[in-house]
Amino acid sequence: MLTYIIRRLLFMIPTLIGITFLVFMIIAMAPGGIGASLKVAGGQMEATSAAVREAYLEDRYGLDDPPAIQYLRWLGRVSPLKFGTRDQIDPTGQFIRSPKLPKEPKLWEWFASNLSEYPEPTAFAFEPDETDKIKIRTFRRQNNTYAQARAGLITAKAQLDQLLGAQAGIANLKGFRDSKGKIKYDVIDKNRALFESSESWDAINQAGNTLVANYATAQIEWTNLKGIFDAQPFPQAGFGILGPISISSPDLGRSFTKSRPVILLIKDALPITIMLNLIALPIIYFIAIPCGMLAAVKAGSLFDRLSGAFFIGLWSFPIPLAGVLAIGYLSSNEYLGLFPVAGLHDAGADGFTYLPTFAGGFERGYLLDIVWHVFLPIMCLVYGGFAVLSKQTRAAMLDNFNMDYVRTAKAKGVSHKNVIFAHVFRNSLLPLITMFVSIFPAMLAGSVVIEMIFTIPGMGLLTLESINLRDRELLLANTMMISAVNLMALLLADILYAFADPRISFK
Amino acid sequence: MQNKFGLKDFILILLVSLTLIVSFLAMKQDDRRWQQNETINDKIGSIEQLVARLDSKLESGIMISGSNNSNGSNANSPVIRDESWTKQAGVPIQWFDMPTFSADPRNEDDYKLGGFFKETFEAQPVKLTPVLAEDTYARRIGDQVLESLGDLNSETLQLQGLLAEAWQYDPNGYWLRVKIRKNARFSDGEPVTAEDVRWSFHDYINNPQLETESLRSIMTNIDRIDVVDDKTVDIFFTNPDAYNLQMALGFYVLPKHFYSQFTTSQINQSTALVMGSGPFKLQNLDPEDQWTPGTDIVLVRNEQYWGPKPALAGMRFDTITEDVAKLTSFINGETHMITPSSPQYVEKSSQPGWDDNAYSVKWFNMRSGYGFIGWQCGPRNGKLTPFHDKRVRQAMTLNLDRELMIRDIWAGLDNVAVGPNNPPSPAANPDISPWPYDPERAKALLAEAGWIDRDGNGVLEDENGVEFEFEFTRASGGQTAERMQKYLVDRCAAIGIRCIPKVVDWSLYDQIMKTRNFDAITLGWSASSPESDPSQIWHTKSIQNQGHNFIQWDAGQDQYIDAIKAELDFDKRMAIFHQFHTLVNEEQPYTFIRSVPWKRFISKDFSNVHTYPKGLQQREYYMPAN
Repeated sequence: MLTYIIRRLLFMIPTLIGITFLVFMIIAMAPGGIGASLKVAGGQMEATSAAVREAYLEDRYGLDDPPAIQYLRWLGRVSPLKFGTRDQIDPTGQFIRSPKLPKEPKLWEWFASNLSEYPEPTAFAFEPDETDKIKIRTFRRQNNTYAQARAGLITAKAQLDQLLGAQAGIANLKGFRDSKGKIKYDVIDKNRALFESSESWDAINQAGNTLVANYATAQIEWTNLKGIFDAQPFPQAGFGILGPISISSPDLGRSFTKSRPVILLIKDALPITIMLNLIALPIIYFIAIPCGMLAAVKAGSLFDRLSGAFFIGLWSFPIPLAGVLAIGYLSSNEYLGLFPVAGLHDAGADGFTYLPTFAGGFERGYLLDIVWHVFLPIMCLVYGGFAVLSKQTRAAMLDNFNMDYVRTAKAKGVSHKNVIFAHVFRNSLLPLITMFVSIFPAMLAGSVVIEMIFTIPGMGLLTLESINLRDRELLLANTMMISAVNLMALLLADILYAFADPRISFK
Repeated sequence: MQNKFGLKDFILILLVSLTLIVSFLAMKQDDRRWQQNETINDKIGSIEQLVARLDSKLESGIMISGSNNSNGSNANSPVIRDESWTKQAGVPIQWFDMPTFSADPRNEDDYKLGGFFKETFEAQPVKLTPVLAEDTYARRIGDQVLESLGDLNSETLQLQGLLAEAWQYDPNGYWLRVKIRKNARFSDGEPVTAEDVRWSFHDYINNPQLETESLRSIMTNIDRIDVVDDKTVDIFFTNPDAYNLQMALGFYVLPKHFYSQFTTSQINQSTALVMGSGPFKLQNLDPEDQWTPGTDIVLVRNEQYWGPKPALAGMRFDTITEDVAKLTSFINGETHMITPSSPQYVEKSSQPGWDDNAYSVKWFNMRSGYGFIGWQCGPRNGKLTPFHDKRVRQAMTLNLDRELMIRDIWAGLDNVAVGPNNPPSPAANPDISPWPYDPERAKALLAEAGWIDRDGNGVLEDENGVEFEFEFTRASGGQTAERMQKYLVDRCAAIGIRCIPKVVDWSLYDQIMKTRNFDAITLGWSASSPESDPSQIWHTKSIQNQGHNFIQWDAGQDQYIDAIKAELDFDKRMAIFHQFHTLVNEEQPYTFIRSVPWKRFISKDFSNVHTYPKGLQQREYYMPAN
């Protein structure tokens, strides 16, 4: 059994990689590609300003790399097994990565005979008794200097691109931009004479020289920073195993549409969705299973037919409509006004006590306030779930009723109640177990609509946004989490099968 | 298999009930502590208010004994002002009195302090930290908490001093010296100094490690900011430009002592590090426990505020995305202000009894945007579209009954837009009225441009027999966009033009605009100030390099735009704006469809609600006594 579980767990790794890769590539191939929404967000700006802003964003999030590289980079960060230079952790708990290399400027041959090499790194060493504070300050100061140099490089590149683009446009050069509007340097390079003979050559040349010079500065500052980084101003993250291989906590990265760490976003959203589902699931089970049992026992009776029709009716009622109707009639003071419209807490909830209080008039208290607020969302989450589960129970029970052992039990005089509960129901549990583990991941996805209507900031909303906004980190983290939950649920189902049914074994 | 109640079961039940009782008692105990906590908090709150009142009394006492300070009360006696701070004698100085309310609530009979005003946003702001946050909701919060050196007068829309008491502006436009108000202070009581201004620009906005590039990339005209003395700064410009003044005085002045305690990555990842000198402050400024999206944003009155203090005890903001839920929340009194959809506005504001509980306001202000159809005036993929001809564009405008569109598609609340600037902006030419609806004239213009139905199949052709066919690009989602598309297709068919709709995802718009890969496109622009710089959208240099002149319109507009940017005098600049407007109106590079008013429902629990050309002034509201 143990080897089986370990084998299944190991198989999950390639499966997860496969799923996340597929999802990522589909989104990346979609028109606009990763990060498209970032660019739309700019609003009206002058072309140069917009280009500079875009260059900053591309540099920060690596959006100008091909999608496959972006995916691999993400994979490297999220894997607990790391290769290469180990990260360090600053006192605020932030990962400090080995500084990013400045990008080699395109078309440098136009402006310089040779591109400057990286200077020989001078080994930097702190005094042995240096205080941490000074170490950190030294690193931060150099980090800032490098950031300035890098910003200079980015701006210079954006400016050169602007000039080239403008000149190519004036000269009616064909196909110098790709479908996303990025400059194709090979096309420009082929038409070098066109630019050199143009009026704006002086400006282009000047911008190019600035670019090359800024690149040289960035190289020097990078080397300096790398030296300080290698002297380890901060403690190293994780622990090393062998040479460049180390183990460290996975880093889900930062969402670039929300510019916050993904892990924090999930930490905000996940408990809400789990709470909704943990309340909803027992309700479904406590109503659907007894109804299913009763329907099976009295198969063909009025109750069987009525409950069946009623549940199917509920199941077919669209959730968005139900949500809006509930808000319009149950929440609105113009009608019943029984429940709050949105959110999870009352405005004054921070001042509430935990339990209800009666001194000086009734006050709900924090606990009851939440229950009151989630009532309508839970109702919408629950009503569609009865049909499947009760029908499943009914079918499983009916199957068992016709079994030989039931006839034997009846024949030897076991009471009707015992036949139903001790024999039939127990044996009908098997499909219900699998139902449970497969319902849970489905509900994670299913609460999207409810979260939208009732403005509940849960996982469903977060996932939907990450797809709409093509937010790489958020999307990948959510995909990974949902698929991991699904895979674990499948494994759990298989293990439970083995426990519930002695006929199944994984030897 | 007997179900007998044994000793084991008894112990189990005992344990479970014990656990339940103990946890209940623990909750009870916790609640008792909580209540004590609340009482202490209340007491501290009232003590804080008392201290603030004493403090302001003390301060005003000193002002009276100084007696040379401008208090605004004795305006007719000549005020002697200290001008030793100025940079260059002879250059005029602009002085500004202490800011006041536009409609002072303190004069009302039922004026009362207190009350929380709750506003509901229709989309979730992602973060509130200044400059890093870019959306309009973060700006609404920022405008309550943060202040800049100058701001626009809410009625006249003229630039006036806020944190700045006076300034001296180089007539050639290369420098600006600003004197900061003596009593201006941040919400923690620290004074606003020249160093804060310098720091906000150089070490916050221009810090390459901070994600402030949206503002950084447009503030390139400011060369540097120098501290002259504790309350005076010099701002230098790289080149003179009409928009320099607005830019130099418009950014938020942030407290250096507060923000410099964080590392850059802490600021980058923060959600709500918002502290400034405004009339309200964030209730929770604990960096370890910041506001997160999904919870209410709570502002409380800044008891230390240096200007006229608001009556409200605080403001609260939440988000409801669903339209019905938003309206229901307002009707229930759970929120005091919402932005209704157009149909909701029409339905509710005409409902009997609605006015008893709610103000329904609808007005045009400096941030009202306009919606348009842009015609491709230049080549698309190397080929000219029919719209390169001015007469064709005019015909397209004449062929659309925009009043009907507004009535039937947008619930009749909007105005027909007249141009790139619409009233109440002073940049709009008051002599221009919208083009009429006249299909016959449209046909005539098309015929004049060579588009005639030559083979009698109902579709116009040019002299080479090419049929008039074009692609209309719109964003997916939204019924109104779809209705507009249907109307356009119908109208085009009526005069013999084939219009092929193309629906694309909004995230693709940027790419389509950049590559100029469209014949006609619909979009809206919103304004951020009464006279937005026209060069971003209209200048021919924005044709090159994927700028926002994506329709590639080039009809000699540059002379006006360059003149506008070079003209530092307001009235003269407006005159050029009007000429520019005339040109745009004649050329019709866009068909201006509608200019969109702001719509709000505001609860009548609050008084002193006014609409201004600048927007709303929630700081003037109060909850009337009784």
